[in-house]
Amino acid sequence: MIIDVQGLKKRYKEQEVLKNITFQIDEPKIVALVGPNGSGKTTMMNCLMNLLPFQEGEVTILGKNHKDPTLFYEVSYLQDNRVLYGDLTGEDHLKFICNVQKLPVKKAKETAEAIGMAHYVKKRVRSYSLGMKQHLLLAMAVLNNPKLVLLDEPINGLDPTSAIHMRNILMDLYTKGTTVIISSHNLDEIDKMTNTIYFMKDGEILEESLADLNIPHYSLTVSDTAKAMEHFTLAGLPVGLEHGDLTFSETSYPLQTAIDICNQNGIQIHQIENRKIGAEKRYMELFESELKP
Amino acid sequence: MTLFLFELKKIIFSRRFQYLSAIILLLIGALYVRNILFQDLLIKEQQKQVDISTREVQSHLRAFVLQQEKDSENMILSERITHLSTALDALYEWKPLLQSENWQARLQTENTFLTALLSYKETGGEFSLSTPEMERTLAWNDQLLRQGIEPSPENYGTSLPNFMKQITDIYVNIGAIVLLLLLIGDLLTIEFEQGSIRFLYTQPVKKSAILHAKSLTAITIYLFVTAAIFIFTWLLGLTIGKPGSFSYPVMIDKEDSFTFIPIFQYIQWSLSGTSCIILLVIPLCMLISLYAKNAIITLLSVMVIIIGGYFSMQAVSWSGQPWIDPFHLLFTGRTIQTISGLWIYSVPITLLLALLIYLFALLKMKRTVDIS
Repeated sequence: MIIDVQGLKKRYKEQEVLKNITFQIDEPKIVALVGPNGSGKTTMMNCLMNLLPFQEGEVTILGKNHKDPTLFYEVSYLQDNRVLYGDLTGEDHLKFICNVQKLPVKKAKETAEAIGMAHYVKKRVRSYSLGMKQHLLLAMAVLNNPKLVLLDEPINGLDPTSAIHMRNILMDLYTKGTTVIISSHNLDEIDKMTNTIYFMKDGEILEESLADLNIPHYSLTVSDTAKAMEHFTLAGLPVGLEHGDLTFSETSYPLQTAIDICNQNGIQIHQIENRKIGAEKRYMELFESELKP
Repeated sequence: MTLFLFELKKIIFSRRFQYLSAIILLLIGALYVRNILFQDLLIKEQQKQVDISTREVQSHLRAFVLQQEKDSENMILSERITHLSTALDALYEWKPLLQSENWQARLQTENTFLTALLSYKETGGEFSLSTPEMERTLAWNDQLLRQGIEPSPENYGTSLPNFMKQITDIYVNIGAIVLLLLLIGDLLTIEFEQGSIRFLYTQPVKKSAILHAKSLTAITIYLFVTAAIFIFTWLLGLTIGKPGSFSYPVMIDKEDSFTFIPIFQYIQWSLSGTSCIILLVIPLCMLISLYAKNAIITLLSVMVIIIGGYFSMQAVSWSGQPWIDPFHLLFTGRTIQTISGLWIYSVPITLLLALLIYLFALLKMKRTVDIS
């Protein structure tokens, strides 16, 4: 078991900010945390990393209590760039981690090169741009080849090239057996990285979406929607209605079946659209009220 | 060790440390230049004082002479006139010696003046110079003549040992504490304020190790800065100052007597005593940081506690004993100049309090989880 969270609850005075969070990750995967601002993503990560106390629940990481500082030999947490010391160089930060983690110091240079920051790692952090700081934070997080890495909005403020580069590094980590928990507002990037998404709202995990997000969903624009729905229902085929179009998932029945039903009953099909339900689509469905002006 | 070196690097490479260090050294240089420039002014000031004393003596003498014309049998009047005449002769002799290289003659003449004046005051005469002040100066001059050391103006020394003493006085009478707080007062609070404590908390290090490293860093910075200040002062005095003597006497002004210790001993004692109080200030700063998590509140609180503690203990009559007063060494220079070697009795209580505060800070650090 990589991480086991049971009944995690946190309150700030009278307000409950995390409500009974429960999940387990038992094999390496990339898990995304998605939710509006204030949904509890950062708070949850900080609780898991023993940076914030919580009132109820249990957290076990790699078989150890989450308060055990030796966990950080195998776990990394990429936080925001305020944790960096402006008067020190990137190299100072990396070498410090090498020394504390009992890693060979040459690993600092190797990691800097792998991340692509070798040409500025010896400069003081106060001269870094936002992207450079994010790269340094990533280098610090992956330096010890962790079994679990948590990243709190690592893509924020990155240009497309840097965002792709970061994604590639995380994917590479995952292929080598690291579990990645990443929170992000960039749903496009999330879609490209993982199918495992925890949607959070008001301190709760609403839904854990898995691979079915990427199964084709079709929408049919037909001449007589009501008639078509009647025939689909009679035939025992589940169908939905969205903006006047018929919708269904290919897990229920293939597209050809739907076409045959329409043709047999004289219903003209004006348009067939193949829609993959990605993170953004699902986000919009779950957080409809947040999106309304 | 890793944490300690990391902490040390953070301080040494910080702009604030570098700028402050440069400013301090510049100020020391400026102070020395000021001392040199003021030498002529000091002589003029002394001449002015001699003139004032001369006029006062002449005024009293005239009055007594007039009185004696009406009361020629009055022995006390005669004595007063004799003493004042001696004093006046000494003043006439003293003024030209102020610019002379012959400092022994200058001191002897001043002693003659003061002795005559003290004798005059014993007869009930009044004069603007107080008896304790005159006795102090007499003792001082006698000591210098005995040791064969040229006098140096207090707070305007241009010789190496005297300038070092001047710097010591500023440093050990709360200067070191203020400087240390400016340099490392926010060593812990800044981690909470900017959030970088989360970086340390997500490394495989114990929280107690973080506190040990920061405290050790603070002590190291204090030692480093102290050494830098005094080495710079020494080099300045050595290159452009007069050699002077490290046996130059520093007066210990006890209630009913004067004793003297050499400057080198004064500097040694002062720095030792100050180091002791610094060992109290550092854990106090750490403890308050853990509660306040704000640099300004921490610094103000530390100053209020140590200064308040000092004056509170001074106000309580039974606390006259240094061994029960942990704040006695706050103004180490002043303390030494009133109780001499007895300052050392304050060390155990100061260190004990420092240890207690440090233990509280450790406990608080271990229990600190909320980084918000």
